[in-house]
Amino acid sequence: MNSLKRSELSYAINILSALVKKEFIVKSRHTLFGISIVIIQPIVFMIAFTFLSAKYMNMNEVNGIHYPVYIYSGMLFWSYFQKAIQKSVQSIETNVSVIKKVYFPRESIVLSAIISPTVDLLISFVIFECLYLSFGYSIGISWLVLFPVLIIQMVYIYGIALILAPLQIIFRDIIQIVSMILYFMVFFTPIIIPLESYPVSLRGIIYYGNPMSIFIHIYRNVLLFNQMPLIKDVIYLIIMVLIIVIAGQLIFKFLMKRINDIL
Amino acid sequence: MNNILVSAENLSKNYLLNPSIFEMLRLKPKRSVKALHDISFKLNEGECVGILGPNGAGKSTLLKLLSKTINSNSGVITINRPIIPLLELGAGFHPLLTGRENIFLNAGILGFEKRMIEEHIDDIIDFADIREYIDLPIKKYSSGMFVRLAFSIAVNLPSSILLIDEVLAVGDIEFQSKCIKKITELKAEGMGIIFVSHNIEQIRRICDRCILLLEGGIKYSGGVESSLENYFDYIMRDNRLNYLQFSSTDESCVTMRLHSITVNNSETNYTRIDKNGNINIKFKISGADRNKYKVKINFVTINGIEVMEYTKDIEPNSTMNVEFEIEKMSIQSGIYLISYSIFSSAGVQLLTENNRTIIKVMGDNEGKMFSLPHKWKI
Repeated sequence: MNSLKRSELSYAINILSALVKKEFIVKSRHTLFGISIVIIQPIVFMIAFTFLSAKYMNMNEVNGIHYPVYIYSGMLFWSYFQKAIQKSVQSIETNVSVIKKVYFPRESIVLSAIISPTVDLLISFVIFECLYLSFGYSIGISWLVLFPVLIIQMVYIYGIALILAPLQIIFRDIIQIVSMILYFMVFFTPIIIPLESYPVSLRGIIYYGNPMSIFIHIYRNVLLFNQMPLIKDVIYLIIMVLIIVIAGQLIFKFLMKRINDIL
Repeated sequence: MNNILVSAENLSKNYLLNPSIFEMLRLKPKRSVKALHDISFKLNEGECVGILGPNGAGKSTLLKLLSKTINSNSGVITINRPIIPLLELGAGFHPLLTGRENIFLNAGILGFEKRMIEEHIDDIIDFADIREYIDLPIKKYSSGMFVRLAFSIAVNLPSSILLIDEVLAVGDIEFQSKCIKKITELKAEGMGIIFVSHNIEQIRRICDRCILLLEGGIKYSGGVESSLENYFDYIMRDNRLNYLQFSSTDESCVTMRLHSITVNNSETNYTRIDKNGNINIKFKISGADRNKYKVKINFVTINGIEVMEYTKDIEPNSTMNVEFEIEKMSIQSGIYLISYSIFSSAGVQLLTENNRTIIKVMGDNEGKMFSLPHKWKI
């Protein structure tokens, strides 16, 4: 029994690692910068933000934190969310040729599409830390708590993608709609504007209605203010994410059975 | 020995016609076509089962069901061993990856460990015979290289069941015979194979028994020769072979006709002939009165191989009765399509009646492709 379980696990790991490896090779092939674009991109972002905020936005500090650092601490995780959602929603579509040929657990395709942006995030994160230190701040030990929170966020993305990726096969414009919603959501997530700057009546819905607000709030508090997340926020997130991922699993199973025929 | 590798019971598969989202989401969809119904069979260890049938009979659907890439509407499939499907040529490769990377990807999604793949990668590359190109992106491969690589991965990784769908048709002759040799070896080692092909020669060489699928159901299941016999009967009975006509627009031959064809004095388009029996074809040519002509009779197998061709010069005449006879049809049993054509003496095609007559040569196959009159001296 035990050996069977282990072999099933290694089967799943083999499939997932093959798919993730493919993602990375395909991403860097026929490109100018290869994998190093992952490092260049956040640096350019940072420079742009520093320049903009200092010269034109007249915003130098938020709660005693330099504005570029403040923005970037939120932007980092938001752009990860955006990239991972876009990639994973399209994952079934882009891998149709493999799916038609071989059976393997289809969820692994969705999961593998989330892993590569996560690795990008970790690289950007290191760059952020360098920037953070260069502004003269110091890093507290509490940032280790980020990793379990990041895993919860991955599960959140996975749950959403499980629902949307098969729908993308049926309606090819799901991804456009999702991208539009994501643009719109930037204004309803405290990334550029601190939560305190929203009208009081909106704060509750912005914070509890959108799990990404809580994620970014937690990341920011840990990174910039060395504050541990509130237990009730974390429990709230875990419950939300569990509901989404269970619903996602059921919807995915149901839709994939039908979608196999029209691929 | 004789363990059952695959067993299918009462498999049915419906495809939705023009599926709208609401139709798709309904639990019991209404408008659908039956692609397969009530399919039951077993595959034993070391056995190769051929699947015969015309296009649209459900052969590929059956293989997709077995490979689990689609789900059945009802019925049970039990597969106890690792299975490698080889469906839809080359699909599953990523064009930007090199041959080597694609081997890892392909074997990886079949669940093989990296260490295991490394153990077999040399066999795979050597069998496909593409060592010089293995580190080039797949998109630069020729279609033959594609197929060779796909096939090589499937047969060189350890598994117990192989599903092969029309794959061997693309490789060159050398590779095809290599594949057939490999398949025979794998069979001897106990692998079970399900083989779909329209190539009757390959079916004869590889398969131990066949299943004849017609319109989604099993029409016949049994030995290779008796299954082929049933398949040929179906083709003949239902006039399934396309009949093509060509006539030149040249003025000198617009009135030319080839008609009143009889084979062994019967006027039907389908005639059964005993092996080693005689065949007598009579037909009339009218309107061929301007020049000297050539008449040609062509025998083509069901796989499109031209086996015999006979030509005769004829003098111009307003109507001619032509008679052609072979006393002893000592050729392999099976279906042959006969085409008639008339050429000008300069070799310009004036009139062709393709696949006009179909004959079925009946008898056993001991003589293989041909058995010509011969002598021995010892």
